[in-house]
Amino acid sequence: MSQNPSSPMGKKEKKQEGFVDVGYSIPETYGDDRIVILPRDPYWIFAYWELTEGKKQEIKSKYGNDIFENAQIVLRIHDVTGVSNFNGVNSIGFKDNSVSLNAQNWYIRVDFSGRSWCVELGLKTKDGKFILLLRSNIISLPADRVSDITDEQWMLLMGDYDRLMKLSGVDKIGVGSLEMAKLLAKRWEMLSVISSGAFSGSSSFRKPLGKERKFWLIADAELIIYGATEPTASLTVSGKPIKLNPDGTFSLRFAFPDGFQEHAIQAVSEDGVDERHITITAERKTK
Amino acid sequence: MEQGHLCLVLHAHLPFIRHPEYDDFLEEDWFFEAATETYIPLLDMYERLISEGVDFRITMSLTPTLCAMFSDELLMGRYKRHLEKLIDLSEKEVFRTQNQHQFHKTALMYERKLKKCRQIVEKHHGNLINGFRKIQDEGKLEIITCCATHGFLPLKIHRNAVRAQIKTAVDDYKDKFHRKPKGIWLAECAYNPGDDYVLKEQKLRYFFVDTHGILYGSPRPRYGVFAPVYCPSGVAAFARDMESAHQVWSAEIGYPGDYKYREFYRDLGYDLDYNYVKPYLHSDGVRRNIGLKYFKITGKVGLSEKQPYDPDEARDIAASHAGNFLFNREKQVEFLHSFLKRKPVIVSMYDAELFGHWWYEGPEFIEFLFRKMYYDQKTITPITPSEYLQMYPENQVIQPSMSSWGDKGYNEVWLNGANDWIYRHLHKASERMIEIAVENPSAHGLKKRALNQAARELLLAQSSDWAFIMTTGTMVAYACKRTKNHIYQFTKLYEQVKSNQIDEGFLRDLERRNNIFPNIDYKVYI
Repeated sequence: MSQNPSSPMGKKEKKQEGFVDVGYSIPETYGDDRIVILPRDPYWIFAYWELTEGKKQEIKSKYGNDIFENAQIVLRIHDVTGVSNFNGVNSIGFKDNSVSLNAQNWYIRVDFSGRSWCVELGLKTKDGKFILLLRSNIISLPADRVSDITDEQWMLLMGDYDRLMKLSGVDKIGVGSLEMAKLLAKRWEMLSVISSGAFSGSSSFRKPLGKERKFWLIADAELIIYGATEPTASLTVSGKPIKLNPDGTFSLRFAFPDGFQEHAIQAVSEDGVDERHITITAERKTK
Repeated sequence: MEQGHLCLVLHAHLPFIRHPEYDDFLEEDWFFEAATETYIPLLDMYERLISEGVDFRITMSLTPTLCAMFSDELLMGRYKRHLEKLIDLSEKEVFRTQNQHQFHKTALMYERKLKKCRQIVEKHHGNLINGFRKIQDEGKLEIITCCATHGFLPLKIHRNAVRAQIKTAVDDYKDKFHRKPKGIWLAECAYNPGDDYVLKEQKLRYFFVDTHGILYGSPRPRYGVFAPVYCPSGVAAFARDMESAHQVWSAEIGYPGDYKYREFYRDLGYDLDYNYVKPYLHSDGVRRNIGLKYFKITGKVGLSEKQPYDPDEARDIAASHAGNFLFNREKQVEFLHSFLKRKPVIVSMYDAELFGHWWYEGPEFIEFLFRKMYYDQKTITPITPSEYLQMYPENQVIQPSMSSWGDKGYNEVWLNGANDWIYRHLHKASERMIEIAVENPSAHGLKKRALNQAARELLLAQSSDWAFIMTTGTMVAYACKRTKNHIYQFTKLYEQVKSNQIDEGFLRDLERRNNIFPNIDYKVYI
């Protein structure tokens, strides 16, 4: 098990101090050359790896004994959405994150939700060459929003759809469980405080040592306006013509800084006879 | 004719905690407390509703770990011992409070309820499975299974490890309930696209996801969360209704915070003379909660300012909350019915332990809810998922989104800086389990026992509870110890199988302690 501090998501305190008997010791390494990635949420991947001395030697004998000092160690994060037989060079795109080889694990933020990813651990030489050390499994992260895809057979009018989403609690996602988690945490805290004496030989519960916390928060907002009209109609949003998708749907994404925004949406039928207007206003206040 | 349905789902789960190596083990109390306050009161309530002819439907996941504890002689024996002590204390309390009008009624309530618990345990021959099975056989309760040890599926990388969690659970269910499970509760409602194919292999017809599992599914869900959808595999997914969840969960507006309900944190274990309570504490003699509580929440006041609890008053509040809950569901159903042109199903799902253990009056709330639903209105009827699917076999096909019902809706509670170290070990152990299973496709005798025990140790290490406890930041030592011990024990067995040098004494000791899944078959990993 690695106790090294790693990525910005941070490890906490050394786990074993302050506790009595946390069980048998288990291997720190398994002698494998391996990187594994796991999905944390739509924007975060967790990676852990192990690189054996044998593999390092192999690389050194091929690229020079000082290759690990001279080259940059990176995690190369490939977007492999829709790519079959990913071979290291046929991804949609990639970005590199510098890491320390000894960290043995890392949290990686990706820029888009709803994509598939593969991560390579490698060495980036000064002349830009990439030497592959390890390649991970492939995972798909969730989209974290309502799908753009509608189902002909089960279509619903857009206004009704929004109403249904609200009824379904689209604005409350994740809320209920957080409160329950807090309640449970409070209860465990209570149990722990009152169980501070030695107990049952094997399980002695102490309060954990004061933690060095690296707590952080990022929050931002964007505004997405979407809808549908006759596929043949012409649509403008705040006077600007918008190209409709073949099925008549549209979706626009706006930066959403603090303040007030108004978006007037106008659809005009092909023959210019019918017109429909919807105006959406939104206000953001960040405190 | 009703316009819609309520599908009430209670997820009953505790991790497998059983320590025959100690005479007295604190964490076993989790099971005893939940039995006294949640599982037995629920069972008692079902039996009462049936005897009084109230038609109701409820769905419960009784996890394989919980079922193992329900049917374990050692633990149930210890539970009876625990219960006898509490009954003894409650009798003393009735005597002690005879001139204290404000507490006496509550003391009598405890005596009555605790004796009822004993009676129910005896009636079912010390095995609560017998009680729940009977309610299921009456058609009122649909018992579903869960991942064998509450393993968190989206963080597994081996398909065979996912299959072992599912198939072991399904086989265990058949042993205990004498039929096949119709549905499953995925631990933490954690779903990863594709896992439904493993459910399909085991002929499971449905599972549950959190709201966004379906709302963020693709294509868009035509009925929101008010109808199940079919995954590409054909297995149905039901999603949680947020409105009814919120009414119960919410710290601010939730029912359980009513000032007249019983206060959880003010407990007799701290209030009374040490020598008086000492016989009812653990052998270490440290003051702890013992479950007899005489005060109500009262308001936002300190524990010393709490007012005496009045069971009758609290019961009236539970009745009015049930009325309010039902009224809201009726309105919800009426509106949805007119809007969707189909009878909606409102899926209200909760941790079972909320009812009784956390919210002491919770079981009464449910009882009032079913009585009122049966006697007082015709808009909404209770239903089980399999009944709803029978009524509406045609549903939209949607690929649900990866999701869980944990904080923030995905996997972070089980994958963060406090617990991420476990996964390299869990994955390695899964890989090794598959390896030795494949190498020994028809083991027998000692080797077969070692392979089966290795599978048990791996499954126990995979319980999502350990990662959860590490995240909450307290009781961490126990969770770390359990994870490491099971990995260690697994690794030993792996090495012994590989070298063909099985230490029978070591094996026998593990079989005795971690005796879950008596009929496990390691070949599930092939």
